[in-house]
Amino acid sequence: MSSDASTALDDDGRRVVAFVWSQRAIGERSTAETFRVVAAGLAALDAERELVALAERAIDDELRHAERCWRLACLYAERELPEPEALPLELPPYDGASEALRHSLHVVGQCCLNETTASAFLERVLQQATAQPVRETVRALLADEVDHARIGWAHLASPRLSTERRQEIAAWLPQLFAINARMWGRRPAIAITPALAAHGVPSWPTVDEVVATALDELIIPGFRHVGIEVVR
Amino acid sequence: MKKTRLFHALVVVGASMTSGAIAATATVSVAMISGCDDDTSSAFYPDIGVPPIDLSVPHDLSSPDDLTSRD
Repeated sequence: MSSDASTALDDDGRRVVAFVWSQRAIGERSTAETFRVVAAGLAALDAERELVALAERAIDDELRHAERCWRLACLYAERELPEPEALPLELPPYDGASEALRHSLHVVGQCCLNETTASAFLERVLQQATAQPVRETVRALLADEVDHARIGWAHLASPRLSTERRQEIAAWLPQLFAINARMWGRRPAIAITPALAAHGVPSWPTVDEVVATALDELIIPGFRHVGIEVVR
Repeated sequence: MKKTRLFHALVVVGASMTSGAIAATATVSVAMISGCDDDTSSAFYPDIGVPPIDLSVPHDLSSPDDLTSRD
């Protein structure tokens, strides 16, 4: 392992960091499958060709992210770990929504909410991380996640999206917000020590703060920017 | 509302890819975000930062093998 990555970490800390990055690798690998759904949905909606292409590229981006996270996990584990496999894809059913609306809701859920929150999260991780391998990985991921979030905001701003569809999407926002909040609220029952932030594992209060700030400063103003006023 | 550099990079640039800012067309209240009825408990949009990590019970962190186990 590089001395950069191992500095100031005891064995337990190193194992926790390796585990977290290995689980992130699984998350990234799984997200590649989500983007297959997003890309297919955008194509079915006859979205702008550039958006469909960006969503298709996101599939490869996420596969690459999975490999980078896995390599980082191996670095901290000091051995080769099993390669990440995608978790079963379980998308929200959005019962009662039309097929076209479901396509848009998947785009909004994945891009406007999750990828936007992920961008804010990675930005914060980068601010705190000092281990060079972590910084390199996070920089690479963040550059792509920004593009992935843009897919959603571009879709919502598109003139191809009717006023009626935008209103339908707005009606589902409380549920989309709840899904996003629940996912980002998942917590393992262990303490994250301050030393782990240097290795890309911020404390849970930091994650909470990032998620809340992303909602207040990115997501809600973002919906306002594309014509959906969110009243809290 | 403070507009951050990230807001510009994500939202402003993203929206401009298709049309840019548009007039308000919808309003929604999310005052009950934390308490809203959510029947999508299996819903899943995974990505960085929201991994299905559960380091709590099943993982013996003294064992390197457990680095790869989950759930």
